[in-house]
Amino acid sequence: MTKYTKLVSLIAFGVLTLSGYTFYQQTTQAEKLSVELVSEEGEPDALDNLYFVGQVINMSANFNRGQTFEYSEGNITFIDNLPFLERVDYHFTRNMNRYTDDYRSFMRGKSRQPSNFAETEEHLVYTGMKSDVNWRVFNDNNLTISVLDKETTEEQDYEVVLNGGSNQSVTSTYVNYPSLTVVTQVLDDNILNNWFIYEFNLEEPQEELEPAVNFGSEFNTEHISFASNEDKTARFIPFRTMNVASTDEYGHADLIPGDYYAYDTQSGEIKAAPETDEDDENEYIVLSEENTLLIGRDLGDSIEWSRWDFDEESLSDIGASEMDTPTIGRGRVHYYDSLFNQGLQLIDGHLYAFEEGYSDDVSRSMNDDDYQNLDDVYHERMSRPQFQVIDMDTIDTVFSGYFTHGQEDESSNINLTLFDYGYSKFSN
Amino acid sequence: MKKNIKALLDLTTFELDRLSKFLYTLLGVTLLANLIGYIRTPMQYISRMNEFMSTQSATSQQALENFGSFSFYHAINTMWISGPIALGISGFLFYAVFIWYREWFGKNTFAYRLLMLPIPRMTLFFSKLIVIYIGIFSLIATQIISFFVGFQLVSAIMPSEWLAGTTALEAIQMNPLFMYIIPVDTLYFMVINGIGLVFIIVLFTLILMERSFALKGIVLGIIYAGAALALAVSPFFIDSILQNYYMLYASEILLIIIGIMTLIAVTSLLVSRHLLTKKITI
Repeated sequence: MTKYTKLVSLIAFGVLTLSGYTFYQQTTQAEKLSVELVSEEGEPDALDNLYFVGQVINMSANFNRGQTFEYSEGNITFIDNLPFLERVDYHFTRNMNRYTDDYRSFMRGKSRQPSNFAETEEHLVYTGMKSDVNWRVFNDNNLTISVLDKETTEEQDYEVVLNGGSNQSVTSTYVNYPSLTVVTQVLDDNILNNWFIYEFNLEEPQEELEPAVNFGSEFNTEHISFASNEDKTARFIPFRTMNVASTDEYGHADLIPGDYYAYDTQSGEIKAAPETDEDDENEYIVLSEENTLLIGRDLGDSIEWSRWDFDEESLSDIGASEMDTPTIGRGRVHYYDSLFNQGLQLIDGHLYAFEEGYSDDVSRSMNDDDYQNLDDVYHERMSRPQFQVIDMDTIDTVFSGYFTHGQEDESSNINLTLFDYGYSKFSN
Repeated sequence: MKKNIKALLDLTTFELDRLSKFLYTLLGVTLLANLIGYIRTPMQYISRMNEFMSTQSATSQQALENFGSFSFYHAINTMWISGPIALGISGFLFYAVFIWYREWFGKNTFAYRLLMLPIPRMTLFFSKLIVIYIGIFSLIATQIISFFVGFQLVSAIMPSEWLAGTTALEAIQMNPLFMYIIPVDTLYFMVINGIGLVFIIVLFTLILMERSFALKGIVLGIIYAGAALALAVSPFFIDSILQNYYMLYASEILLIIIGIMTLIAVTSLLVSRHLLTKKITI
């Protein structure tokens, strides 16, 4: 047996050291990083419609690996804790994971862009260009439409040529079964930032579609901005024109909001929002859900809300909501000029407002020479993703709170950031 | 069966004895170079800080603001650490070839005696494979232990007010090199070691081809290696062939790759067995 001593010793040395290191690493990280929801007002279950993917990272270790987690239906799951193959397939958008879990066969061959999907109680609709699944395709105007009946799992596929412009990209699709309203943007140097709306009837499919609306020619502008809207069954699609305030030496235009409009997916009409003054210093918010259209006048600490009667072309005041911070929900979340209302969503009659982080001290500290102080403020801003939920029937806040890392040590430099968030009526 | 296992253990022990000097040298070089790095790097920082304070009449705090604090990451992100790792990788690559050719070259043709042993000839193959992996994992384990000892050493050398709060674990995780050679991420570690294992098995097969057919074996080996490589990377082109990047799930592609790698490994083992039992010449 003694002749094997060296062999056994070296194997034991390797196995024990590597497994000891792995165990130490897992226990140390598990102790350090966690995420929790802190409620300042209301019950946390108000955020059950919310989902997001975020990352918690120890910034004191400069290039340390962050831990990615998902918040969904009130639960926080660390991605590292998922089974191995699930982790390999994981997509950093919660809905994509839900679709691939529940409709794996349907999702095969379809892009993973959330903007290519629209979901209703009965159907999951995919509208994607050929170039969304094959990046070697350019100047693409071939739209693939696939509709899954959730109950029967029957899939219907359609191939449609979109006339009006090449190199199109689907930005959203609204469903009023069997009608689809597809909003596309043309990514063409010759037709800058132009937008089209196409109408497609699933029961009377056509091989080619002409634009129902060509925003470029209709509004004589290349700058249109659409409302970011999670409810793909909404009747109205709000949008606004953008005016050029100034252009820098590189030709980049600084845009400011112009007029507000809504497109009616049922009648195909476009109407301007009443009583929204272009010269008003305050920006407006336009939200839609099902048959409802709301207009908010942003006053900072509060928002004055009115219900927009599209048919009567009138507004009726419904009250003012007090906002947790002067900027919550109104900051830019994604750096795309083509979307507005990025931090606000109307779901089930509730307004969900999101802010990456806010500190009263920012303006003062940003001018402060004290680097350490600035670093603290940055840290504070980045590490408190805040949410506010307002019941739009009563205009009362039903929830206010924020997510934070579970590190009790105030001197710790742990950042919490969200890189995908949304709201869904549908669950697993 | 029991006899075969005993033969494998005996041969592995024998190969380990032959590897010992090479392995201990590598371990020694690694520890020595690491030790120099753990002492020299913080000392350089301290002398730079002291020089700044004396020439600029600066306080310790001002020097700290100028140079930043010192973390263990700075100590391990040097050639004193990555050098021995590179040496270890290239050393074992060399040894994987040497472990076979040593049997044919030298004063006596030792291969004759080995091949005449009354045991399955694949036992030779496996003993050489195992001993290389024992060497690799011993080196990795030594490097891991070295980090934690080095952390204590650096912490003892560096004045605490100049030392950043980075732990040894955090410093290891920061360096992308260690993602692949240390189980910072178990998935990556397994992937790299899996690829490494198949690579060595194929390399052994190529050596046996050359030993069996001489010049023809080299040509055969190049063709075999090319075919294995083409097969191994083929899953990455499935998306392009299907003209749809989402036709297969990432897990399915991974399973295909694992399947292909297993196929390559098994084929190489079967070819090696055939060569060892039927074709090899002394």
